[in-house]
Amino acid sequence: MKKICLFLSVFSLSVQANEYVVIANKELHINKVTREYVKQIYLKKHTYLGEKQLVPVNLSGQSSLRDSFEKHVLKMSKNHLRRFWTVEHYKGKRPPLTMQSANSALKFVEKVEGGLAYIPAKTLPKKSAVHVIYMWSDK
Amino acid sequence: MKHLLYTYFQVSLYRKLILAFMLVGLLPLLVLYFYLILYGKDKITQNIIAREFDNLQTVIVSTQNSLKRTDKELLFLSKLDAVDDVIVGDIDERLARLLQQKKRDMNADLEFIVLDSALKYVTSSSEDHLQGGYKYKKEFQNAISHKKNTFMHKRKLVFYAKMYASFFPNKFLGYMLLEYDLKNLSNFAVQGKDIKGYFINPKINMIIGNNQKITIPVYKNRGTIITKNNVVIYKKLDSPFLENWYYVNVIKKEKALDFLYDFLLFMAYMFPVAVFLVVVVGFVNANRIIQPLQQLTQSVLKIRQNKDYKQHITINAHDEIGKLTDAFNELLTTTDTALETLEAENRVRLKRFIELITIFNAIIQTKSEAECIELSIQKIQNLTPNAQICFEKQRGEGAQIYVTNFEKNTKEFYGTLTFQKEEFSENELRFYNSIAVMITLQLERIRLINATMQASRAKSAFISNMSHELRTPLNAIIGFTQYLITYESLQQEQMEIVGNIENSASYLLEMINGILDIAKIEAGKMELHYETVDIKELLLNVVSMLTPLAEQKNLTISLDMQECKQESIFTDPYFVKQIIINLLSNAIKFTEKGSVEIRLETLETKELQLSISDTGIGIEAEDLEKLFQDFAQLDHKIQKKYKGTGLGLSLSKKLAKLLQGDLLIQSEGVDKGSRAILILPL
Amino acid sequence: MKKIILFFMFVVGMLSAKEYELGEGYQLGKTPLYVGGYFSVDYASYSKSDLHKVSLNDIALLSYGSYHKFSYMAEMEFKNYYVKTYNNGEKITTKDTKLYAERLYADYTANENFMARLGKYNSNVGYWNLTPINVLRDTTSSPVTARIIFPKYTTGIDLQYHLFSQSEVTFNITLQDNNSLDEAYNNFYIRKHFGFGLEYSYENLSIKLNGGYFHKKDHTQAYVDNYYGYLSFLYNNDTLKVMGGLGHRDDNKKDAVKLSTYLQTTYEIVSHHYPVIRLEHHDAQINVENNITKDSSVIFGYTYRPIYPVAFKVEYQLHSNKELDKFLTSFSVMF
Repeated sequence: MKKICLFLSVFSLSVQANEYVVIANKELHINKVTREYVKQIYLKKHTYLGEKQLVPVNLSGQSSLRDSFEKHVLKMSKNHLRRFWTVEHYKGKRPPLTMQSANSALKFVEKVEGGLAYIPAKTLPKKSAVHVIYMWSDK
Repeated sequence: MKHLLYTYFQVSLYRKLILAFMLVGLLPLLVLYFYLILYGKDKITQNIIAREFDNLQTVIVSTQNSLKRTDKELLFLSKLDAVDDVIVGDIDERLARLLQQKKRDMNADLEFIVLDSALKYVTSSSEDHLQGGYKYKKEFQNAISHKKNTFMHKRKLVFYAKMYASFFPNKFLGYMLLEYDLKNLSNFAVQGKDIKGYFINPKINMIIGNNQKITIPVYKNRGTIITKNNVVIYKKLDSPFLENWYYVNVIKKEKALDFLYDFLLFMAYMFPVAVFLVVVVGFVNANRIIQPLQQLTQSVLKIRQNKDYKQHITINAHDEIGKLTDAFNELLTTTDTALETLEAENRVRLKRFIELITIFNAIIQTKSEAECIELSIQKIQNLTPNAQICFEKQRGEGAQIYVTNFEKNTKEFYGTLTFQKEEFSENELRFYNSIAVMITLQLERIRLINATMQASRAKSAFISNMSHELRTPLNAIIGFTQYLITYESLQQEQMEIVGNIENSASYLLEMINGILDIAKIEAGKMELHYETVDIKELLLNVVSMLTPLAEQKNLTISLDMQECKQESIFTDPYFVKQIIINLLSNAIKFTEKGSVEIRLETLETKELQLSISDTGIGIEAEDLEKLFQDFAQLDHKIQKKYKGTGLGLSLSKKLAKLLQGDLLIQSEGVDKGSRAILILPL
Repeated sequence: MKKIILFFMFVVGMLSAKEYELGEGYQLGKTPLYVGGYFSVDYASYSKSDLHKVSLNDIALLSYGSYHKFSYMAEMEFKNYYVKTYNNGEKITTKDTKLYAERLYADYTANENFMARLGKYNSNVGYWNLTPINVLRDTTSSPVTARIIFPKYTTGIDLQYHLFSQSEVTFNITLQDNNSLDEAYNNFYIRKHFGFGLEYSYENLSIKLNGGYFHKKDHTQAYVDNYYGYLSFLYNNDTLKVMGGLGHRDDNKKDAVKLSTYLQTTYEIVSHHYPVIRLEHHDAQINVENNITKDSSVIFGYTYRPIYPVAFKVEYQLHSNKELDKFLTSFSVMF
């Protein structure tokens, strides 16, 4: 854990504009995870971690970050996602919550046990109460 | 007065009907009118109040519903996913925007406030950026601890709801508040020219909808206060959000009563119209009802007048009067039938009566008992061919005939009239009994006739015998005495004796003649021979016959026949002469001196009156009565001198009566003369 | 009919408030309640015979929600609400205004691995059966496989065990030992169903193996044991979707399906437009359709989705048995 923090904090200094991170609430004891894992969480295939309920947070539909997330992490087109969530709706599953901005997403993750979100790396404050569990960047 | 009135109506059904109609029509009208006038005001006011309470209720209900909806809206908002943004302090102001939108949508004076679990501002719908702790933290906490839905602060009613995370239903995020300015309530209150509505809370002395301070004493859940100018009604709101709040309506009294006055005016117009209508309808209907009765009465009177019971009355009515007419017609028919029956019966009875009379007539004609019986039976048999009638001498079944024996004055059984018929009605029995009675009468009559005829024959025989037997010897005596007087030389003494014998014999003969005449007259055997008689000549005749007698006594006889217009009369001259002779001779006899006046006149009563007045001894009043008795002789010295038979006047009167006349004697008294009046019919 | 109009008006009314997207349901007041629904209108025309059919079917209302570890689904549906069949000039109209409980179950998610489901649910066999409704499938018609191998609905318990790693592995067991709920539109009348499934998915590809046993009522109204096995796969990426299935069913008596298989490809050539090709083959001893037991077919379909939850479809089927050739078209919406 600490290693990751260190790594990240060093990393964050030299971060480029289009670096993004997926953050998780402190209470969620998870290490760095795979892309598939993040995808599974965000497709609500994974809803629990141990006893804790996972609460992934999307950014609003217009956000470019979200587009990037969907492209690089979920690797699903909007249409595909639309299809997916329509089917999930039929199956009785709701898509993740949406937050308007990265800041609110960050705040959410800080406050909510089980919260997860993706934000631009630069938004991440130095002393943050959240874990970074995944990183990606636009190329 | 009461009696008069009573009688006034008693005599006429028409008047009664009119009265009834008037009462039925006008009384309710009057009662209604006065009721309305007296009680209307209050009643209408009550009505208005009741209606206004309904309006009040409507307002209250809509107010309460609005508040409920507001509460629901808040609740709904508090449960949206969007409240999750509270976690992030609504940095993105999504919640703020939502609340603002909602505030705009609700279009009222309110504010949404979002507080976190520490009652610090998170966001709100307000333009101002609110920070720190909630302004009315204390009141809010109070409300929470008392588990109330709302709390009041100043003129704001605050609703609140809890917020939870959408992903963690247990995660308490904070409170969402809705500060609702009570100003909004004035939108619900009614505002009009005559009516104003307010919401008031007497406890905290707050009024919404009115700038003025008005004190309305509210004590109960609902009530009415009627002041001089206004009607005030109030009702408590039964809302969990607004405790101790009342909604009040103040209505101008004129507005309420306006309707009443209009109504009264209307009534005032309508009243005479209604009265008029009632009267007209009353009269028309009364007339309509009475008319058939009148028609009936007239027809009845006409029938009675014409006595035409065959005529029937036709009335154009089908009600009770029609039925009465029908009944009356039936009565007429019955009467007519009865009368006809009566007439028929009468005719029958008359016929019967005539038959009876005819029978009686026939029976009366019979001359012998046997003929009577035979004829009677024959006649009765004719009448009743059914019955077998016969007469039996012995007693039997039927009508007993008892005949009177007049001499013994007893009833003797004669015989029985038997009828062999099965049955007799009472009338028939009576009829036959009357026939029996008639037969009895006829039998008696026949016996009487026979007896009388026998008696009469006996009398005639006696009289003629006697007349002959008596006169013959007397005539012989008189004749012989007269011979002796005339032809035999007799000595004075002998001459006196023979003279006495002749006088006595003559007197006896006169008496016998008189008696025989009277007897004849009384036996009814005196036969009159009427003929035309010259009365004046007769009178002269008599006067001349008796003049010498008067001259002897130096009496003058005057004869006055001027007033007699009759040339002749129809009478029996013999007896008239006899009467006149008797009267005149009496007049001369009983007058010593003076005159005798004879007067003959025709009276207006178509009678002839002969009056012979003398200046003689007269007659006392009490003696006048006795005069005409047989053998009456007055005790008088002249009478003693002139001995008469005493039968003269009696016979004269009887003869006068026989001649259909009369004889009267008048006198003033003793020595005042007397007058004899003979009246004869013409 | 009025109910439906009202229902839609209600829904349209609800759409006004917050940012809403068609196909994602709508949240009602309380948190654990989302509602949605769908409907479709079909038209079918048989080429060889003079048979046409128009139907308004699948009018449904979903409501679902979750509360902590529990979640539930209730789906009420009008099936074949209005069907008009024209057969040789004869017009037959049928209406079924009965509301059926299509799905009614509750899930309990113990943890990330384990989930239990209780109620009436789509049998967890193959992929087609998980999204059987018109709007979610690619063609108006369903492959024969979907209805002759296994029961479409199971009323019982389903237990799932997930394993997450690079790939996903899911194992499930389904158990029914009771009468089915509202089984009028189930393909089989079953009284028992014991089945298992094993799924492996990696990236966009998923493969599933199912097997099971069920007690099915046959045409003589007697319950018969049936065994089935089914293999299916699904490949789904942004523009291409390929799915297929292969199944076999066996009973101890006459009815059986030797083999039934399909393969379907959908490709989004242009945004919103999806042509579809499906190949089917089945060889059975049962009457599949029109007294035919053996048939192969190729189906050409085309779907236009202006937005995903709204679909306009046309389809033409060519069969080895010519009398089964038909033309289909439909319109469906999900909200």
